[in-house]
Parts: sequence; structure tokens; C-alpha cells
Amino acid sequence: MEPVSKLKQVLVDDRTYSVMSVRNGGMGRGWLLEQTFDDSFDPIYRRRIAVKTFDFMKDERAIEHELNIWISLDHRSVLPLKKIGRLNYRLAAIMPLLDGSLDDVIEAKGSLNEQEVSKIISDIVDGLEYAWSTFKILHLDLKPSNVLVENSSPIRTKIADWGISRLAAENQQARGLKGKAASIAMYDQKTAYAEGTPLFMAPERFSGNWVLSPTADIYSLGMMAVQLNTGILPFRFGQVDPAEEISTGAFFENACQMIENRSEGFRRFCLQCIHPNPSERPSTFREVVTQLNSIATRGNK
Amino acid sequence: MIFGLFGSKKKKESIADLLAEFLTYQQLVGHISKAQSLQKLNRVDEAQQVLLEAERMATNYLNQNPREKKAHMMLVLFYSEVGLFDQAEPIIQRLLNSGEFQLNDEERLILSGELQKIRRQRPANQRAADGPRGFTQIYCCANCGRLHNFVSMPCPHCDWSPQTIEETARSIILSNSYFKISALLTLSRKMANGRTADDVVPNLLSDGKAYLSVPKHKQVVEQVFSMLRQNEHKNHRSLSMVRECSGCGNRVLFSGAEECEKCGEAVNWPDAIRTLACMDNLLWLLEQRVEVSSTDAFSDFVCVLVAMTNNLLRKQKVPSIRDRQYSLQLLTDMGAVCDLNKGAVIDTKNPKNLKIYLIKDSMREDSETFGLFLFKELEFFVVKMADGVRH
Repeated sequence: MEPVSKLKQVLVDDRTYSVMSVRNGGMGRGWLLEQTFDDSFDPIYRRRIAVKTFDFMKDERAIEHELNIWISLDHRSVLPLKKIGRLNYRLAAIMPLLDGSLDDVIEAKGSLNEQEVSKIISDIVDGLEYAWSTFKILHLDLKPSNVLVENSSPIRTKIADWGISRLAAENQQARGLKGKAASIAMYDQKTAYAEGTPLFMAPERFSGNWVLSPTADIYSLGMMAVQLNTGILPFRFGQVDPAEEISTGAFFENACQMIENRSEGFRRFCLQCIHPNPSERPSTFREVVTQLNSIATRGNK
Repeated sequence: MIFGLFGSKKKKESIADLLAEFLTYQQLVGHISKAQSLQKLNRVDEAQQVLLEAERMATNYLNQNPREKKAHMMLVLFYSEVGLFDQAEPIIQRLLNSGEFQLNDEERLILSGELQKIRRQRPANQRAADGPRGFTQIYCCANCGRLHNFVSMPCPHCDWSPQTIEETARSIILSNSYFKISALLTLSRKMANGRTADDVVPNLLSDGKAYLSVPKHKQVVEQVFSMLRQNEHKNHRSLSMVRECSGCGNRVLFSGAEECEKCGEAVNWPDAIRTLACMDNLLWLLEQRVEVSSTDAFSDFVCVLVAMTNNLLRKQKVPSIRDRQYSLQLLTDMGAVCDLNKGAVIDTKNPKNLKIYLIKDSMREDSETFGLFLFKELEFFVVKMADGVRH
């Protein structure tokens, strides 16, 4: 088999697709593909699709875990897993190809206004609340590149990459995911402490001594809100080591200054979400929704 | 990338293509895909629930629109996809023969093809006396002699495809529609020793001409020939391409190989390619080394192996639970598989506990080597048929 970098065409199940781009990730690769024939009505094999393949040398159970979680999620704010198929004989997740991620939006626009940010965060919280209330699942790797954009005007988003998501320890059986899915999803609670994207990870997750709860994802939401609104993250890159700013809580002071002149509601929302002390953050996704609604209401007045 | 090439409409080749623009069908496919995905994750009960929901969706639509041919086709597609061929067959027959529905030529051709496929995929003990022989249609490549089951595609072993209508007719003749499986295996063995198909099969050239003189046959040959020409330009997959070492390009021999025998490069094949290599090896052994039997079980085993190999190679479709169970049953029914001259005998009565016996009096110089090769590949095959192909 040819090395990935040289591949111009790949086989997805029984279709041949041209490779538009390949992006390497932690546990596998993301492929953007296009096929010659326009099966515009085929619900799975569209002309353009995105496919994720997995590096099975790393951890088979982690991959099964991701797929088990993902296939269970069915919500307008969650990127759907259309089918588990094969790409060049490797297990692959076939999904619709969207217009890019929030990273691309930040790169293109620089920053978004408070209302736009609130709307985006509100969409994401919708999906998170669904995963939590239905299955007790937390995402744990929320960041702009994991939130895909479906429509650019107005922006509509879908949460992707449930690779390190976790089922909360309690009640997982009762809350929905059945038998095998639940047991696989629970396969290793410990890894949840170490994995993620550090700049979007709540400080307590580095301590190895925290309880899985929505506050972890709520922190990441807050960080995203700050970045979307200001175009940057609250770290003094190049001057101070981000790890130090996370451990000392200095990032919080930076954020206070960065959004000083924002509306009271928006500022309070962001700062509560990224508070270094998890008990100071909103404790539920519903609470986040309420705060976002009040920002939107004030914005409309 | 040349975008001008994109956007052409796909030719309709299957029931799915006939239904593609139909909204309820799209929802149905969504359900079937979800169920298949859940099955891949071993969430069998949930997959069953989703399939029941899909069946309800298709039958409800049919009950509301009993005169609509697409409603019937949708149910055919559902039953075929989930392997309930017994339920699909009478619906196709009704569509084709009852006169209740107006079908165009394209629809009639596709439905007839589907019916033929379904009737073939019936285990030997459930096949009617006048039904098609063998579990599936298989062909002996007129160029290399190896067995395959897509006459409208280049050979997966040597990439050859017929270049004329006459060659296409001869390729169609070299199949289990006209020869017993045991005869095809003999042909394969003789061709591997350097003889040509024309040389081995008496009157093949004249039979080809006679075949073309029947207008109905000629029409089929022309259709196959036209499909071949179209398919030649598609990204064809051959077994040698899939099995080659990423370091030196050498063909990796053993399905369980950890490294290339020639250059030592690590072989990081996914489970699907290991299974493909195993089935290809077994097929080669059946063609070249194994004592040919004329039993139904032996013939069906060859056919199932060809079908599963080609489906995995071309469609990346791993063997279905039904085919896996049938393969294991066939091994049990066969009782034993013997290397040439019965120098090595593998007891397959209990496939999960295969036993090899080397018969000293019958052994040839290479009986042990090939006997063990066959034994190892059969062992791997049984594991994959029992547990399924994973990553």
C-alpha cells in the first residue's frame, strides 16, 4: 500500500474518491474526499465527504469507545456519524463534509461580536446538554477546531470528535447507553484526566484529582467564547509559559483585562465559565443556557 | 484537481440507483447504515431494533402505496441488504411477472440481475433442482486461470480483461454456469502450468461463436463488454496491489506475517487485508494444491470463498454473519481437505479444532510445506469466520 502522503485516490467502501486533503490527528486522520460521480441523492456517499480513520496501533479500545459514543448521538448540534465503513481496508467513520471549523472562522474574521458568540456557544451547549442529559456523556476536548461550521450566515455549528469524551461514573446504565456501549465507554476513566488540549482544559484536570462533571466542558466553552470574541486566548504566549499561567490562575487575570469593556452579561458569563475554581463556574449546562439567553435578550433590546 | 471531470451522473446499476432520488429510500438507507454500523460495534440488539424500525418504515410506505413499484423495490432492497433473500425473491418475481407494474428495460434488467443473485446465494441444501449451480456465479480468468466472480471487471489476480466481444463470450462460458466447479479448478491448475484456456477446453473458440449466435446471449455479452470498458477506467483494485510490501513491493505471502519475508519491513496490515490475504491463499491452494472433490459442500466452499474475497477486495465488504456461518458449516460438511496425493490431510469436521495428518506413504517432497501452509491459513480463516473481521 502506498504511503498516505502520496495517495491521490482512496477506496471508501465500494466507491473511489479523490483525496482533497488529509489532516493528521492524535488518534488517526481526517480525510476530505470527493468522488467523480455525483451521487447527489445517496444519503451516505455524497459527492464530497469527510472520513476519519484510526490509528489502531495506539489503542483499539479507545477507538471502539469513540465510535460507540458517536453512533449513539443524534442531535442537530452534533456532527452525525453516517456510517462506519472502510477506507483502504481500515475502519473509518464516514461523515458529511461541512464548511470548516470555528478555527477557520476565527482565521477569516478575526473576531465575532457578543451576540454571534452567544449564538454559537448556545448551539454547542444544546448538543452538550443533550449528550449529558441523555447519556451522561461529557466531550472533554472542546476547542474551535472540534466545532464544525454548517452554515456561515448565520453560523450554525456541530460538535465533532468525541475521541476522549467520557461517560460520568454514576448512572451510566440507567441514563441510556446500553450494555456494551456503556462498558466500553467506561473503559478507562483515568485517561480522561490526562487527555485533551491543554489550553482549553480546566486547570483542575491537570491535578489528576477531579470529578467528571459538566464544569470541565463549561470551562472550555468559556475559553472558546473569549477566543471567538477577542480573536486570541488569554495567555501571554512567548512571555510566560501557558502551563504556569494555568497553574497560577494568571490566565484569568489576563481574560479580565481582555474583555474589560464588554457588556456586563457577556463579561460575567465568560469569567464565570473560565473561573480557575470549578465551584465558581455554572454547574450545569442549563445554567449556561439561562445566562446566554439573558445576554441575547439584552442584546435584542 | 480537475474539477471539470466531476459532476457526471452515475449510471444506474442497482436497485439502490433506481431509488436514489426517493426520500423514503434515503431515510431507509440511513437506518440500514446505522444498523450495520452498530453491528460492526457488536451492538447486535440495538442493530436489530433499528432494522425493525427500518422494516416498519418500508412496509408502512408499501401499505400506503400498494400500486407504486418503488415501494416494492424499497422492500426488496431492505430484505436483500439484511440477507433475508427468501422474502426479497417473491417481491421481485411479482414485480417482474405479475403484469401489475410497468417496468422499463433498465428496471427489468436490474431486477432480473438481483433475482439471479438472490437465487444463487442459496445454500446447496435449499437449492431447487433446476436452480443455478453453485453459491454464486464464478468465472475462471481466461488469461491467468484464477477464479473470480465479476466478469464485468478486470481480473483481480492479473488485471486482464477481454478486449473483444468474442473474448467476452468465452469468459462468460468459463464459468460455473457451463462447467462444474471441479472442472473449473482443473482448468485453473492446467493454466497455472502454462497451458491456455483454448488449449485445455475443447471447442472453446467455436463454443464462443455459437454462444454469440444466440441473440439473447449476444445482447448480454455486449452489455458485459460495455461495462468492462467503463470499469477499466475506474480505480481498479488488484490483490497484488493490496498485498504488496510497503518497503520493497514484494508480495507478502502469509496472512499472519509480521514482517516482509524479503526486506524485513513491518507488515501493518489491518484485519481486513489479513483476511483478504488468507482467503486469497486458500483459494490459490484450492486451485493448485487441494485434492478436488465433486461434493456440493466443496463446490459451495470454493464459491463462497471467491465471493467473500471479491466482495472484500472490491467493496471492502467484510464477510456477513450468514456467509461466515455457512463457510464454517461447509468445512464441517466437507470433513477433510487434502493436499495433493493426500500427503497431508486436514480434518475439518470440527473447524474450531482443526487437525493435520501427514500421511507418510502418500507424501510428496513438498506435502509437509504445503500441508502446513494450508493448515495455518485454514486456522486463521476459521478464527475470522467465527469472530468476524474487526479493524
